[in-house]
Amino acid sequence: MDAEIERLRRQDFEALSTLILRYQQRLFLYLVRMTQDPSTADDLFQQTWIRVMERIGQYDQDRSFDGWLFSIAHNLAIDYLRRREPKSLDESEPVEPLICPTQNALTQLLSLERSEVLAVALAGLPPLYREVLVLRFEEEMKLEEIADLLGTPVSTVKSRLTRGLERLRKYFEPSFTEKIKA
Amino acid sequence: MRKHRTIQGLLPLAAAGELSREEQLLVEEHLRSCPDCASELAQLQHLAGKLHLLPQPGPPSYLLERTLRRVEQQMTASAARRSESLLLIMAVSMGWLFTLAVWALSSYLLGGRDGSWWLCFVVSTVLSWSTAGVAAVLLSCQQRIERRTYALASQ
Repeated sequence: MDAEIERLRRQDFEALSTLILRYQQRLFLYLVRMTQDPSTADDLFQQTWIRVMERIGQYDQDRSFDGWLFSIAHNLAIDYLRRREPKSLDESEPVEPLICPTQNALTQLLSLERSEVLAVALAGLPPLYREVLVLRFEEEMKLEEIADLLGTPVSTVKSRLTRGLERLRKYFEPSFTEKIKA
Repeated sequence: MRKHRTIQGLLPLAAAGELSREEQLLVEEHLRSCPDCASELAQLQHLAGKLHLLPQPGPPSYLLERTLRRVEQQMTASAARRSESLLLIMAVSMGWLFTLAVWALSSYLLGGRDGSWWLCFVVSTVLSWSTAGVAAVLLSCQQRIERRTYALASQ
C-alpha cells in the first residue's frame, strides 16, 4: 500500500486505477447508502478520487488509508445532504412501524426475513444514524475507526449506533410481536 | 427500575458486540431475571445479523474509466490554472519594473528641462496599465470559453 501511495503522490494514474478498483465496491456502496441515489453516489465517488489526488500530499501515512478515503467521501456526502435537506442530519420524521391491516403474522414475519425490507427501513433513518450502522455492520469497522473517520468522539458514535438500532427495532416491532404470538 | 432502564440503554451496543467486559457482565446478570430485556436483545441481535446481509448494489461498469477521465481533466485544469497564475504574477512584476524604468527615464530626460515630466510619466503609466488590464480581461474570457467548450466536448 505504501508503494502505491508514493506512486499516487507522483500522479501515477496506474496506481490510481489499482486503488479505485480495490475500493470501488465498498466506497460506492457507502455512498449509495448515504445518498440513497446511485447516480449521486456515482458523482460523489468521482469527486472523492479527485480530492484524493488533490490532497494526497497532505495524507499522513500513520493514518489508515481506508479511514482517510472514507472521511473524504463522508465530507462530500454530508455537504451534498446538507444542500439537499438543510434540516438536521441526525433527526428526521420517526420511522413508522411496519404494520399493515391486511398483513397477517406470517406475511409480516416473511417481510422481516427479506433483506430488501430492512434496506428500506435503513434508508428511512436519519443519515448520521444510517452511516454508523453501515460502517459498523457492512464495513465491519471498529467504533474507534468510525470515530476517527467521522472526526467525532467514540461516545457520539455509540449514541448514534444505539439510536439507529433502536429505531430499526421499533420499525419491526409489530413483526416481532406477531412472531412471538405465532 | 432505574437499573432496568440503564440496561435497556446498553442493549443495542450489546447486540453490536460493543460492550466492555463489566457492562457485558451487568447485562448478562440482568437478563437472567428480565424476560422483556432478553426478548429486546434477541430482536436487536436478529436485526444486527440481518444488517450484515443487506443486498449490496454494485458499482456501474463504467465507473473506473469515467473516474480516471474526470480526475485527469481536473488535474489538467488545475495545472493550467497554476501556470496561468504564474504567468499573471510574472506579467504584473514586469509591468511594475517597466513603470519604474519609465519613471526613472522620464525623470532623467525631462526632469531637468521643465516641471511637467511627471505628467508624461502618469499618462504613459495609466495608458500602459489600462491596455494591460483590458488584454488580461479578454484573455481570461477567451480561456474560460475554451475550458467550457473542452468540458462539454469531453462529457
